[in-house]
Amino acid sequence: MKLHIVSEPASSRTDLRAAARVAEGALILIEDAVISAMEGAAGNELLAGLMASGVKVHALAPDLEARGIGKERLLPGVETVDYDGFVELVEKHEVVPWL
Amino acid sequence: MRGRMKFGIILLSGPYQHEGADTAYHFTKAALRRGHEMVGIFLYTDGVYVTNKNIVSPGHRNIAQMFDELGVSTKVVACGTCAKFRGMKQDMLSKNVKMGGMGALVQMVQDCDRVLVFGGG
Amino acid sequence: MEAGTPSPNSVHEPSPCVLIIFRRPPFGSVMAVEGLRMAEALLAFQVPLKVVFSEDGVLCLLKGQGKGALEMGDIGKAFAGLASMGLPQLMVVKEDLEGRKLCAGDLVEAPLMMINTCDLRRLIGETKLVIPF
Repeated sequence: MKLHIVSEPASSRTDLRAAARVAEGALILIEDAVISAMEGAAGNELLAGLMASGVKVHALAPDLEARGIGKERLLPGVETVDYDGFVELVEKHEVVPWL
Repeated sequence: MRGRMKFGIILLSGPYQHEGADTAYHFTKAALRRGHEMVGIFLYTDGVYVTNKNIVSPGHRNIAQMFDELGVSTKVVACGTCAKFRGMKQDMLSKNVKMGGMGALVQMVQDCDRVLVFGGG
Repeated sequence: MEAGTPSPNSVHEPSPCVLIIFRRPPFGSVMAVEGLRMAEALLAFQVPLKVVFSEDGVLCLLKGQGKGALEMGDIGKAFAGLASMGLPQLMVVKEDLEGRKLCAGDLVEAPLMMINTCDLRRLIGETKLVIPF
């Protein structure tokens, strides 16, 4: 099971869709991709579909904080992690960066 | 936490233009905090620009200094060909960063448990 | 190229160490060119490598590139040249090719293998290092 890393939002790039085509295990949204985790954002359906199929979805907290996005705005089920948590996910999973 | 692992990073984006450089920096710091070995950071394509010692950033984080700091605890290598194509000369590199070839990248790929890629844009 | 979709990993082959996925069309960004350079380096050092073209990356293999004022060259031919460096085939995600109204006949002469997204998922799952370009 891999950790899929997505750094661009679904509203402007196809990375999340490409990851969702094949993802198993876990996925983390970093950098601008964290906005896809906001309720109502483009990409919500892809994330909901991933979570329904058992993929754990995470968002990088420092990227949310930098953008003023509070946890209360996130799609239910998305877990936030800090950089240490990001590293911990990489400890547990081989990675698939989607650029 | 798992035992000590070997991580490597490939950085594809330059300073300030894209967040990849910052993510690479903070990930590296966290990995070192958690006791892992950062085998190397390979600066590829525009990633070589993060090591330009002439970066001046009044009132803001200085990305060249950030990567120079990382160069103390990990091998930060700028791709020589990418540097050449971007006019980055050896004497422009920060003190703790070296030029290297694809052999350095291949070595990192072979040695690491995980290789992350940041930047892209 | 043969008809059908043989498994990209036969039981007699070791699992690849690196999988490079070409996702972008050539030339608008440097990604395809630099991904090719990385593939060449890995092959030169005999690192086990597999290469997949997916999404807009299938356009890297179009025949007849390199004309006109831009002087960017023909990257399709360069990818075809990876065969002489020891890469047995270039894998192409069939639905991404067909979704762009293309077929294998539109692509450069090279050892191509058509795969589906299930094959891609399996390849990703089996490969230690996955690097997109």
